[in-house]
Amino acid sequence: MSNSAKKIESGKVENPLYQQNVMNAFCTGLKDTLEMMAQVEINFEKPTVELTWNKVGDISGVIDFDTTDFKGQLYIHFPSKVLIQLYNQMVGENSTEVTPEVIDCIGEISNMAYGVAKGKLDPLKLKFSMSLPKTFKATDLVRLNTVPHLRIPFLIFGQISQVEITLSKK
Amino acid sequence: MFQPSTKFLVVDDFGTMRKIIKKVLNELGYTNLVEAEDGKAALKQIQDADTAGDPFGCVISDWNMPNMTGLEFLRACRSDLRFKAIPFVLVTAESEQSQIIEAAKSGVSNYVIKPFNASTLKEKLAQTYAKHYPAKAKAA
Repeated sequence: MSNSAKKIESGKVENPLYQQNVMNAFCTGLKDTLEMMAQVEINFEKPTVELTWNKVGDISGVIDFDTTDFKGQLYIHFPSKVLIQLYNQMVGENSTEVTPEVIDCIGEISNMAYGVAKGKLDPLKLKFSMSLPKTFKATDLVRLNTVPHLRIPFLIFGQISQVEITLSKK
Repeated sequence: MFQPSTKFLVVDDFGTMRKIIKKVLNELGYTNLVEAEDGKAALKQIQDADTAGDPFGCVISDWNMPNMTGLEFLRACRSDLRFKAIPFVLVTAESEQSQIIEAAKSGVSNYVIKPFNASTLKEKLAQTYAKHYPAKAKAA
């Protein structure tokens, strides 16, 4: 955890969307997606709110979204080895390196995870929008430090990967 | 269920999902599979196949795609007499009730919500076949 990180405690986070049910929706979205499509279980660790951005993982899937009052992004970051293994388990191949097909896989994972989360959040009437996912190598990912981001690490195949959500007022 | 020789058109902007769907179709015994990256490319494929006298027997398409969405592709098919009755399954991460209603109004045959497993897709295909060919499905 970086020095700028702080633990999330109920009622002490400025952004109203950093709520337990919102966090749970995104975590469930990813968990359901990976369990269903790759037959792998993941375990989430304690979330933090980061005020500066540090590179995490090697490859990222990103989805931009809007709600009634906020705009945000969902990031899912994986180390290369984890993503290769996920890809192999999802499509039944034996890839050993990061190919364009492997990178493509994280886009589909992000799309499904966000779709599940959106379905769970729709009853809150926040009107989360759906958009097309993008994929990035971590070295190509440009990030702004102007908004805080919720970072939720999780353990998969014995390695740490991360979910990140940024939200800022429109 | 669809005959093993049925020609499927699998449409998704992500190659990973096309591979997953093709893998399930292969497991079900279907080998006549064609891919397209978006609705626009798929519409051309379906038109060309019809012109060539080798039409598709079923379309499995993603909804959320660039250039032409799955819903736009579905509407284009349903507005063309040649493809008005083609079995058309939409696969999407979008589970909002209003979207499902919109797809139903546009004439979708069935709807698969991602993430899904092989048995879900198999069941949806069986339902789709029964909907389009009730007599044959009953006789099977």
